[in-house]
Amino acid sequence: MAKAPPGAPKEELKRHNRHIANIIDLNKCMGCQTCSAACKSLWTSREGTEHMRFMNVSTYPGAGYPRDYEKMGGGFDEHGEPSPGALPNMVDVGDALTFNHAEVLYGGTGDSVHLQPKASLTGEDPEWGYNWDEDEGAGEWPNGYYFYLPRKCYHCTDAPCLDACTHNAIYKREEDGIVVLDQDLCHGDRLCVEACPYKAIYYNPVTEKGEKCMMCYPRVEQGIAPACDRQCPGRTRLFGYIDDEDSDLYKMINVHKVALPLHPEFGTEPNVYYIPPFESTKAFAPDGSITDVGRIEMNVLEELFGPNVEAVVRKLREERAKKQRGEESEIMDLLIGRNFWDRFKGFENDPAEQVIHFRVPGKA
Amino acid sequence: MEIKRVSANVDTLLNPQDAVWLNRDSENVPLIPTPLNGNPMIKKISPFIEKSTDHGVVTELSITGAHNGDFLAIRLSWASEKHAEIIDLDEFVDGAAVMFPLTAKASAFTMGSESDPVNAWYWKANLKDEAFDVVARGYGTSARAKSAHDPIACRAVHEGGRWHLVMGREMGPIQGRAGFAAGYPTRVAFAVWDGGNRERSGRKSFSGEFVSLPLEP
Ligand code: SF4
Ligand code: SF4
Repeated sequence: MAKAPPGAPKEELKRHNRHIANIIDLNKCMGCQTCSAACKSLWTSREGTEHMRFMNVSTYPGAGYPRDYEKMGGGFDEHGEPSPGALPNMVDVGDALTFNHAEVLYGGTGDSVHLQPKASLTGEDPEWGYNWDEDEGAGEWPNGYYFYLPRKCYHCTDAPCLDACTHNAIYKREEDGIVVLDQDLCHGDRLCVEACPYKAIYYNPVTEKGEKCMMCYPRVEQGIAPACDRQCPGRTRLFGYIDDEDSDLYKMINVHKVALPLHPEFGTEPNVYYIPPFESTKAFAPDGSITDVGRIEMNVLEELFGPNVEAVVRKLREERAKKQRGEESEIMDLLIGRNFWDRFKGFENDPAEQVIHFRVPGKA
Repeated sequence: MEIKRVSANVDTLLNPQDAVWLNRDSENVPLIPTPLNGNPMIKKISPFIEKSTDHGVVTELSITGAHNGDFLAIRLSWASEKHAEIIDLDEFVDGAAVMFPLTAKASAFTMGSESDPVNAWYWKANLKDEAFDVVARGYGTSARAKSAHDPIACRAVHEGGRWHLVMGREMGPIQGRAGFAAGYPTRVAFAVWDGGNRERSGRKSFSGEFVSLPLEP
C-alpha cells in the first residue's frame, strides 16, 4: 500500500500501480436511490454516521449534495494552486431527520397525527434535507426538465484531500488507487473536507474523525463490484480497472471517449466518469407543437462536464441515429449493456458466496 | 518565571481556582500566529493549510506553575469565548498545549525533528480530566495518546470571558517523555487554539522558541 508515514512526501501517498474507475450513465439513472440505500446500509448506519451519504443521488439543475457544494471551494485553481475551501454543516450534508413513526403507525393516532420530520440538531421543523429539491429541476413551463446525478468519492488521481492532511492519514492504495482514510492517524482536523471540491469526506462528531467512500475495497479485493454499482437496477454503472483494454469501461473512456469527468476544472483528475444525458424530453414550441429539440440546456451540461460535452452529446446522438437506421454502433451496444456482467469485468463475484473480513470503525 | 515549590496536594494543584494559584503572580506570554503562509516546510506537509492567513487570534497567555516535589502543574489563562463542544460538523473546540524539548537541540518552531523530538501536553475543551500526551518529530507527526499509566491530568474552567486551565503530571522520569526535577530548569513553549476561529492543527497561536523554566529546589 502507498501508505507513508507522517512527514513523507505526498507523491509517495499518491503512488499506485493500477487504478479502478467507474462510469455512470446519466441517461439511465431513474433516481431510485437503490445505490445510496445499498451504501448506507452497508457503511453508514453506525452512531455518528447518520448524516453521511458516501453514495448520493440528487436532481440537477439543483443545489446538489452536499447543498451548494460547488460553491464551497477546494481543489486546485487554473495554475494548479490549492483553492481554500469551506466546511458544510449538518443541514448542508442533508441532516439525519427523525420521524414520529411510532406515534403515527402504532400510537392509535394515525387519523389525527401526520408524519413529521425533525432536524437532528434543533429538533425543529427541518430547513433543508437530502433530496429537498428532488425533481424540481429548471426550465420554464411547459418545458421544465431535470436529470439525476449520482455521486460518490471520485478517488482522484491528484487527490487534494490527501494533500491537505497534515498527518498523512489519507493515501491511495497501491494496488488499485482507491483513496482511503486511516482512522488511526486521523485527528479530525477536517482540512481534507475543506480541500475536497466534491465534498466527499464527512465528519463523524462521535469519533471526531473523518470518513469517506472507500469504493467497498473489502468487496473489490474479493472480485466483487462495489455495492452501489452492483445494486443499481438501472444498469447505469460500469466498474473495473481503467487500463483493462478488453473492458467496456476502457472502450467508453479511452477508445470512444464518451465518458466525461464531473467538474474537470477542479483539477483533481477524478476517476468516476459520466455518460452525459444526450437526449431529453422534446420541448414544446410556443404554439404547443412538439419540436425536435431536447429540453436540457447545453450550458447546464457544460457547467458540469466541461466544454467537451457538446461534442460527446453530438456523437452519442449520431450513434443512436445509426442504430435507428439499422446500422452497427459499438457505442450504443456498450451503452445498452445486454450482458450485466460485462459491466464489471474482473469483479463479477457474488457477495453472497464470499467471506469478507473487514473491521468496522468503532466496533471490535 | 519560575515553578515555585508549594505544599499542596495534587487535587489542590489541579484546581485552577484554588488559592494556591489565585494568590500568585502570573507571567504574561505574548503569542503570535504560527508562520504557515509562505512557509516551504508547511507547504510540503499540507499545501492547503499553507494558505491560511487568518489564524492565531489569541495574542496573550498568562502562565503560572507550581510543584510539590512529586507533581508538576502548569496553569494557563487566556481571554476567549467558550467553544467546548462539537455539535455541528463545522465546529471546533478551543485548545491549549505546553511543549517541552526531548533533546537539547529540539526546536519548538518545527515541532521537533526526527533526531530531536518534542513532548507536549495537549488539552482540548471537550476533554475531561485527562489531556493528550503528544510526541512529535516535526510538523504533522504529532501522535496523540492518553496513557493509563502516566496520565496528563487537566482541569479547566471558563469564567469572566477567560479559560483557566491547569495541566500536570508526576515529575518522575517516563521513558520517551519530558523529565522534571526540582532544582533543575526545563524549557517550555505554549500554543493556543481558538475553536471559534476554526483553529486546529497548525492553525493556532504559539509563543515562539523554547524558553527556560526553572523548577524551585
Ligand atoms: S473526491 Fe474528494 S475525497 Fe474523494 S479522492 Fe477526490 S478529493 Fe479526495
Ligand atoms: S441505483 Fe442506479 S438508477 Fe437508482 S439512483 Fe442509483 S444510479 Fe440511479
